[in-house]
Amino acid sequence: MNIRRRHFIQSAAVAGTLAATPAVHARKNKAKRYRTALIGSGWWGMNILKEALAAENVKVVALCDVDRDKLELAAEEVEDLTGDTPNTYGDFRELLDKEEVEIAIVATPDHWHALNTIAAIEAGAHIFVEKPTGHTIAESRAMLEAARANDRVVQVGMHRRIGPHYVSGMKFLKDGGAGDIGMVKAFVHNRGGAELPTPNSPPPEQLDWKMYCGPAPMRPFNRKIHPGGFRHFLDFANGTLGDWGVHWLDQILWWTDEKYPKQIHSVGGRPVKGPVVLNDRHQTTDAPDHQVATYQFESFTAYWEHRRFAGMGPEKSSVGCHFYGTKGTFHMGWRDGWTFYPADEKKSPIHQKAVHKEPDGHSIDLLWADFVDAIETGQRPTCDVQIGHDATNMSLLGMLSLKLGRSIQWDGAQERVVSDDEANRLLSRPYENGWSYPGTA
Amino acid sequence: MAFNQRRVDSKLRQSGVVILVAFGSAMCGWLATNCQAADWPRFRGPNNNGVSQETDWNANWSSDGPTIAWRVEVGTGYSSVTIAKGRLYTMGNESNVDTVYCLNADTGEQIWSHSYSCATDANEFEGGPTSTPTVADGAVFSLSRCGDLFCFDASSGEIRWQVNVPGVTSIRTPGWGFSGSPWVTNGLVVVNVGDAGVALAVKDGSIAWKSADKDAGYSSFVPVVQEEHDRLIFGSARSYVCIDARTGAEQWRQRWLTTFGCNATNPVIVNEQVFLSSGYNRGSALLNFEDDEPVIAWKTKAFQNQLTSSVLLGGFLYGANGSVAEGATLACIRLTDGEVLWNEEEERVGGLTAAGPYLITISDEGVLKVIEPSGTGPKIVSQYRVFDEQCWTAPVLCDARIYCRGSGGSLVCVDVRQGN
Ligand SMILES: NC(=O)c1ccc[n+]([C@@H]2O[C@H](COP(=O)([O-])OP(=O)(O)OC[C@H]3O[C@@H](n4cnc5c(N)ncnc54)[C@H](O)[C@@H]3O)[C@@H](O)[C@H]2O)c1
Repeated sequence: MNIRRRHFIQSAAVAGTLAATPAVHARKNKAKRYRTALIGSGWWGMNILKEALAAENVKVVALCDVDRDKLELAAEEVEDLTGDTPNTYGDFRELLDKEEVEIAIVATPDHWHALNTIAAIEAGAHIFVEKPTGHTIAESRAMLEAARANDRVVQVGMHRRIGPHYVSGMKFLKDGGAGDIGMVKAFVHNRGGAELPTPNSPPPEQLDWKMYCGPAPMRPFNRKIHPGGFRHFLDFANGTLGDWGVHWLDQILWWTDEKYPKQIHSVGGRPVKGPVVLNDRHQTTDAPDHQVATYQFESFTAYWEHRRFAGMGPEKSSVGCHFYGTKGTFHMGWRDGWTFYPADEKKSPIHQKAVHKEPDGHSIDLLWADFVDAIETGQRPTCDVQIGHDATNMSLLGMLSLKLGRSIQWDGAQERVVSDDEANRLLSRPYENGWSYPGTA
Repeated sequence: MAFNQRRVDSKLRQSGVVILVAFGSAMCGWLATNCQAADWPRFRGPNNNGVSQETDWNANWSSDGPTIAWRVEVGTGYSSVTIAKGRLYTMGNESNVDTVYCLNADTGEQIWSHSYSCATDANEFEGGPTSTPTVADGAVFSLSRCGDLFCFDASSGEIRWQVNVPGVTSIRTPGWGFSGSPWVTNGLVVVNVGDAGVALAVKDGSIAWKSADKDAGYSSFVPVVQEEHDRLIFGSARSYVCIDARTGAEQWRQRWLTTFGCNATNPVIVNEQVFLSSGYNRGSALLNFEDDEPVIAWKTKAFQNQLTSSVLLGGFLYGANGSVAEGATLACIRLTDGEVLWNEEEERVGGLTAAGPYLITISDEGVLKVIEPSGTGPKIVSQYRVFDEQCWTAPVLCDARIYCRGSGGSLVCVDVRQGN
């Protein structure tokens, strides 16, 4: 039988037990409430939606997911928090067709971001979309163009551009706190080991697996993929570089005046996780278990490094960026805040603590406020789609070089790889299952 | 569901739990009831609630810590221990081989063991067996994550029969494998396989009934009424269900979705009410019953038991709140209204059990503690690091020994006899 929600809400209100949830009618301000839909109602999508609800400027009219359990969970949560019952959809096209949506939040797996976003823009919505903006570079470009052509605000979920310690750290750097910077390293390291193949299984009954795969090739369902695991499957995402890389490489673009690197080279592989398996019976992930990508800019060198084994090692942090300057090394971290280590070892380090929303360590509350502000003032939001696009390109160019096994020259103004047709073909990819690639590429 | 109120009341009163609730005072009612050591023949103990009735043990350890009676290695896993007639049973895995152990509970010496192949299958955890053997009627029943159910002769270790349950029933294996402990009643052994369980005949392992081919949950079984072992509540992947163990007939079902289809904790049953809690963005609720159907009295997201079930003492539930990967912390929630009274951020809990006024907790890194909790907060009575490894398995107090098991395979017997 179903949870008797009505009954619950009434009795809970009477018993006063809606502990830890904002009261249904406690809306403080009378600001406009935007008719909002969430497309991709998983972990991060709900994190965004909950911040939007806390900001009290949305009315959640619809939720979309290809997993009916996720939809039901999300709808229950919205109802518990607000008393509203959102409509639920398995197909974003039907949602956009039936609902009048002013804001769409897109938090599907990466390979869906472009199609979801562009359809919602064309339906007239402003967009809060998760990073990376695209799974291939031309998808991301098509999103940017759709946003501009339709004059819609598109905020990309790169909360590391707005969280307090990132902002103060960036000011420290730009004010010359670390001196002249010649090299930057962005990194994330985890623990891990060999990966055994996981048996495929029939897709769970509540999951529309074909719609999950969408424009990506169909493959047997495997519990390693959904929920959340798609990041390590290159048909759906771009591994750790396409996930964490976007945030940290963006710090570099935020700091520098240059717009893009001129040359990119990446190596990596799966010596620890082992060979990729994809057959009728089993699968492994297929993203590299470690990767190094170098980015040559005019005035400095940057590189990315990730490892999904060995932990953080002798370093002091497992994640962030090191900006190496004449005055010392600046570490922009995550939960560990930022720290500046002066080159003169007699001087003490300078440290700034992080302030985040927990348990997941983000600043979506600030990013959401900035988004709504942009809608209302007509200004570009802090993580405008161009910024998301540029950061996403950094990651995707690293993946491109890795796949090609050679370095590439990037003409960022034209968004083309110089004299390399094979590389330029990888700026987009064939779409499957009847979906058409967005934009003009 | 026909909860038999009179019966519940009288049974629970004997166990002492209700007396605590009624008088709110810790010691009196509890001392008056049960004092001698009893076996711990199945997961969460003889009363299926994680609460031991033992009183004759030393909760106040010297600064050197209590005596460690013995230590052995049993392999990777999360299986807890069961104890009957001085013998301890548990399971572990090494190099894709599971072993079921029967040890002398006093000395840790091995009496018998049986090994068979089963993948370690680490998946966001270290892998290895997650269920605990059950001892009943002179037999030991164990279930592997791959669904191999064994019936051993408890004294000799001889295999009476073995069945791969998903194999013979054509029921799928859920993401993390099978994990609930077998339940024995009326000549049947019930396992948490399929949508709402599978029962096999104790005598030969033949299938008595089975449920639909859907993902199982990871909890064990709790009888609706103590000592009346046929109506069972347990977690399926997307709901908690109540069945009649004799036939498999479903009595009721409470939809209970989590992000990963992961209902892993045992319900806590008190009088006519059922307390449920899951992690993975679910939370807790208290179910009342109207016309034999569950109705949610309250629910909250602020208290989430991911793997370790809570214990009820004096009207308060104490449990490991939050995700074990990030460090679940000791918290207290009031049964009547679901108010979280406290959540002690510094007090990390991998597993817990209760005895009298005390909680016995083990941190996710192996620090064993005796804690006197109340509605206002926890008071630490004693503590000692028993090992330095991940631990998400509840400790067991039996005959004035505390048994702790780390996921790396350390099994430690801590001697807490009086005067020791
Ligand atoms: N900014 C950050 O810090 C941050 C953090 C985590 C995740 N993310 C991003 O959020 C996105 C989602 O990640 P997640 O961890 O929440 O994954 P998730 O698997 O928990 O959620 C994704 C959801 O999308 C659903 N989905 C798939 N195809 C769909 C479709 N066609 N229409 C509607 N729903 C569909 C899936 O069923 C799933 O429920 C990713 O792009 C990820 O990079 C960003």
